[in-house]
Amino acid sequence: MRIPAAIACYNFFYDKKLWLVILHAVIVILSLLLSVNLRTSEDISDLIPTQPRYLTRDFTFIKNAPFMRIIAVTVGGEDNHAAHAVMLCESIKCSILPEVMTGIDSVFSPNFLENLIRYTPNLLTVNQLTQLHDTLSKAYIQNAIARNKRDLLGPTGIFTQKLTAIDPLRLRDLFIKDILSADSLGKFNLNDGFFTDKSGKYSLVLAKPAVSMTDSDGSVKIMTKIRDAISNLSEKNEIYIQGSYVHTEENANIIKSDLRRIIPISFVVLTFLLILFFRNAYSMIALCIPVISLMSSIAILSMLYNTISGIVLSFASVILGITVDYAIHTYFVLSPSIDILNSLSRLSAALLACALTTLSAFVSLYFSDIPAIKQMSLFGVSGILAALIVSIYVLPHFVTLRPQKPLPPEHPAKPLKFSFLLLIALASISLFVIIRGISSLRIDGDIRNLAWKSGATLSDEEKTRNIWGFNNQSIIIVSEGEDGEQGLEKALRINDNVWDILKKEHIGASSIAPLLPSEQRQRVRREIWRDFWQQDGQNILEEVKKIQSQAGFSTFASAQFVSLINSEPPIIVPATLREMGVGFFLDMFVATTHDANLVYTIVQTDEKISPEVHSRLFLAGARLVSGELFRQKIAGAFSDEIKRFCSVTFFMTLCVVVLLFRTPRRCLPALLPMFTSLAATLLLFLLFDIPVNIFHAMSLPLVIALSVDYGIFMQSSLETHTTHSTEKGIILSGLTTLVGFGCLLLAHHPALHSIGITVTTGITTAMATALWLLPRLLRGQNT
Amino acid sequence: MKTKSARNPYRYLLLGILLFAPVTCAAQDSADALTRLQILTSSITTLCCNFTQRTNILLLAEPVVSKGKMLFQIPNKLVWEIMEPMQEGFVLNEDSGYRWDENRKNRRSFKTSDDQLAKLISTQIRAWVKFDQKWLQSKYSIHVEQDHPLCLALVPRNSEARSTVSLIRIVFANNGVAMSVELQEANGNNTFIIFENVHVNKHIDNQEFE
Repeated sequence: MRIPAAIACYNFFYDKKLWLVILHAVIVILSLLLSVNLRTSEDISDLIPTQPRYLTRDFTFIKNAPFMRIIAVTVGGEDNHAAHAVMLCESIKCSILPEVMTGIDSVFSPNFLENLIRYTPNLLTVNQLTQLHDTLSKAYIQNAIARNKRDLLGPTGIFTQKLTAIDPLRLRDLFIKDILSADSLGKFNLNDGFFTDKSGKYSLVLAKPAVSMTDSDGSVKIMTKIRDAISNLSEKNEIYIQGSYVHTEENANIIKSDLRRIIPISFVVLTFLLILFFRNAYSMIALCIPVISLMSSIAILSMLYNTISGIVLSFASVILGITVDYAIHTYFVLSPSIDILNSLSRLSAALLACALTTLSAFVSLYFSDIPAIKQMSLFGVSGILAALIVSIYVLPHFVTLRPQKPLPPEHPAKPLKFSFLLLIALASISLFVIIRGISSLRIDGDIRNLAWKSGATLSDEEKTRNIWGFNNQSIIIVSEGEDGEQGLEKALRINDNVWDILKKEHIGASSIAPLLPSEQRQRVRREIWRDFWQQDGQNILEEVKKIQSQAGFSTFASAQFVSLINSEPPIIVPATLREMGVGFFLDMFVATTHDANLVYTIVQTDEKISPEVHSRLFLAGARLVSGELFRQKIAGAFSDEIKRFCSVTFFMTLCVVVLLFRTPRRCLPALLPMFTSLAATLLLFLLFDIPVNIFHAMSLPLVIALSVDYGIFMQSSLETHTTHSTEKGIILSGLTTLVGFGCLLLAHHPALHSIGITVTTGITTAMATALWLLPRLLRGQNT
Repeated sequence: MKTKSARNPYRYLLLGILLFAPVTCAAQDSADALTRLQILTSSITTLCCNFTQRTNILLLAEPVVSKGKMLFQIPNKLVWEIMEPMQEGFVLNEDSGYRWDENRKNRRSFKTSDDQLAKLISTQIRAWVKFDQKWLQSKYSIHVEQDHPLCLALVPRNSEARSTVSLIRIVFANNGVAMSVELQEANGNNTFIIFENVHVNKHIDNQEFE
């Protein structure tokens, strides 16, 4: 396979080298200018597959959940921790942290109950109202009034007087339990209006930032503000911070720190390797290729995206490591003494084949449903294309300027007996391992594992959970509506259809719906209430008065209850709850996005929910999102991605190899490094029981593509008897690729580390196969 | 953000005041009275007494007189039992306890960490036993109404609390133990408790609190 354009271009620019230099200088400058506006983000949603669509939707529900958007700072250790909490609260309040609180006026206090029972008609369910006649039997009334009297004379009498006056039938008992469920989010108490843990040793500061929890810049600003404020508190204080913003900040910082470390290190090591192998100042020309490739690919990304994932940019070291290979091969193949045009033609074909295989890997990544991986794909494709173009059309003009050095004598490898059989056996074993490996992989669908969490953060989270009882294993049920009314109506339907089952299974649930029913529902309830008291209710009222009188109550003891029956309480709206002092709970359960109102119900269990609940939720038009289910679905999506990546890349590389070598006897050696490297990588996962995340998965096509390149080069060189320079080229290009990926092993970020470990294992095996095994097997065949 | 004292009415629970006034008491506007009470009560470790409570509630046609007994042991053990005209009461033993209605065997256990009322009582105990003048003065405006016998009048500082409890009046015996407590509510209700057969530092069987 020959590329005439490469020769034509070489001839055209033969005496215009200065123009080539100027042209590339312009490209670099333009790339720099374009890259200036490119912003990076560490948005975890970039790692969520966009297909199936419910995954993105579920993640949006999780992301928008009000309790997920809260930063909890625990302050304790000192006697006056509440005062320190107030100090902290005052000092962190700013435009990006507008809502900060250390407590609330009351949580379902008697005052709240007094106000609430005035809304009894709106709060009793339709079922309760329709059964009111049966419920209010004579025995029930007698029991209620006896209890009222006992309460009045007992230690809590001072607080229950008003409740008794308004609600002598204790109808509040029918709805209060469901309403109090909203108070079960954590184990906090109110002490002097401050959130205090049950031991009284810790206070809690809750901050609700104005920016999204996935905004890395915003998170860094928020956390800097909080940490600065904490540093001004007494050192004796125990401070624990919990919240998604902590992770976003940590990941933003760790990726930046990884970038600052990995890219310079990889560049320095690459330079060192080139100097070591070439021992020639001209070899530095080879470094221009990765630099130009990197600049161009960043420029292309900046044209396509306003913001790219920080993880994508960390891939720069990989681009450096892969693209420098093109320069290395060009440098080795083209020397001043040879027939340049002929060599260039052969080189172009080999480079094109290599590029095609590598591109196939990156192109396969473009079919991913994960935004960050799509960006990585474009990053890689543009880098490889740039490297290919410059290596074929530009670099030959400059590498041939170097002084010629005599080649050292060759020491052919000792051939192995039965080599073709060995080749087939090795390929078969590798294939067996690959098939078994792929089917036995343990997929890790927990995207939290793709984020960096420091030991301090994990410890803070555990302590916060222990102190306040925040359950990170809860299941959320989301009722989505075009407006608040629709969302609340759906949430009520959940209560109607699901709560009974949950209660039977002893599973707690928290919802705002019993406290804030939809307007429509409140109107219906009020109507039933009115009808009841206008008809059967009058007899019941007479019975109440009679029993009260017998129990020693005054004649006007039922006056307020009569007033409640005759009046029509207003509809409960969010403002009503805020006036009652429970706006905090409202804000915990209701969220508004740009196109929907979301009402959350929290189910406190980490166990599986029964299929009956699922079907009832479906009928109620609600969506259940549990960490476990979400992880399972993500794992399923990741598994699909692995199959897609590997099959696309495998098919494309196979096509390239078949096109190049035509017969199975020639193709098999070229494919062997790919088989062994993939088998070794999968074996690594299996032996060390490494759960495979999406970044391991996306690395597998790279292992396939890069490994097959070594096979192609080795097979070509063995066929054309240009082994020495090829081996040297393979060693060097393998080393540079290893440097690119190996530097990712230095990364703290789990995603980058995953890529590093996968490809490093694969490439090392591929190199060993191509350099040590293939020459012996192929020479054995020839002999 | 909440930066001032809360308006939780549980804080003004009558019991907390009634029960622990005998142990110690503070009066901001009378250093002498305060010091005298502190000295007199510093040696008290247990307290047993009967009480008669007259409750005058507008919701009830007639005032109700109830009788019962109270046992206390420092730092945080308490029995409060009404025996007439109905039976009910509760036991607090450090961080846990139980309540009962009608039959003491029919217990409803609680932990002070989970129960608002029990927690409040426990807090009150701590405040009074530790003689937390700062806390008491932050909650109440305390006046000496009479020196012999010493009579203190406590008025909640918080206006919302005052809308429920307008005044608490405590009369102390010469040995520093409360003789009577009067609680006046803003709505006109009032409760008057007289403590009788008061025994100081008498041994109390631990079973009483179990």
